[in-house]
Amino acid sequence: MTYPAGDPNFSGARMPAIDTLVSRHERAAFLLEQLAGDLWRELTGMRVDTTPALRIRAPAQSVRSQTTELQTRRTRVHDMQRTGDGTRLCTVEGIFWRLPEKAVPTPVPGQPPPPIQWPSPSSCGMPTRCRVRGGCVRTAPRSRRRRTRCSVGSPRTAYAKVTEDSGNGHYDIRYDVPMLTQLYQGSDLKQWEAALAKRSARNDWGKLDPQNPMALWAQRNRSSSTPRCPRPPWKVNPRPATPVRPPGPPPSAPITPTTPTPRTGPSPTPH
Amino acid sequence: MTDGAYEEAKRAVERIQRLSDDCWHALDASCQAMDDDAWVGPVARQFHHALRSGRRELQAQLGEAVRDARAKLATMPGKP
Repeated sequence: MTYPAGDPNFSGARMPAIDTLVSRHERAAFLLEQLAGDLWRELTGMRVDTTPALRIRAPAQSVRSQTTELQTRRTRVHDMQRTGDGTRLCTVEGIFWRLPEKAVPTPVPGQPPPPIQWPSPSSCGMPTRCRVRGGCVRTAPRSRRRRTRCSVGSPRTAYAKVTEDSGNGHYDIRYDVPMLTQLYQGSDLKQWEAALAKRSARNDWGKLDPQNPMALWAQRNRSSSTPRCPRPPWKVNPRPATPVRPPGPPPSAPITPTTPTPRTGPSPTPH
Repeated sequence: MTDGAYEEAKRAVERIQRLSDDCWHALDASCQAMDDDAWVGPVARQFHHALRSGRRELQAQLGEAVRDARAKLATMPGKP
């Protein structure tokens, strides 16, 4: 068998082909997962033996784990291609970028580092307080809970992120969280209302030319028809909207200092 | 009553056949990409081998599911 890179022990990936491989494998993983569920459901509905559906689960799981490993390798190849360093082998078929045997996740600038996979104590059959060398980490229950709680995707950090990099002081609606979240209650509404009252007093609606028979009818019969909704609708017993506060501790809670007052020892500075 | 059950079973068999047809070639594209030497090396060869056996297993199980469903349909009392 002729090896594409010449050397049978050379391990590497070719650039456009590995992208197609990873995307196709991702799609295959998704398809197999859906297939396993759908097939099981159909076979159960027909009261037929569901062994084929259960047997498809194993390839589906392995394809999914292969996909994650391939994605790691693809990220590494992209990184090497972007920075330009890394051993490459130019052949007739294309440029092969050398990859290590093990798929170690590459840190990509601009993205947070991949989460550290702590071995869970439940994965091994030993009791939690065990001292297995190189195996599970001996942790107290409280520290394990703290480690597993992740604050990356919580709303508080998302809100903080938007206001943090707020365009260097220049206004941009992308960083205007109250505007984006419909909290804006500015003075423009009053100006608009005043202009509306002036127009309706003079019955001057500008150069309105609707040509829509429904609009024309409504204009002619505005006073005669009893409208379901009163005019103006915003002046009838408005229910004040509950203000949307960004997530955080309520301001009414008394801020008690939890840190103890420091007790300084004798000053080391010589007088 | 039995006609309704038979029709329902026939529709289920058609659905299973369609599932099988849709997913028959699910792993073919990845196998082709690996044949085009997207990733080479000893680990890649193992992956290619595992991919081919996974594809064979998938197609075998899909065929068996369709066969079982059709056999079940054949045993049911059909339309007069």
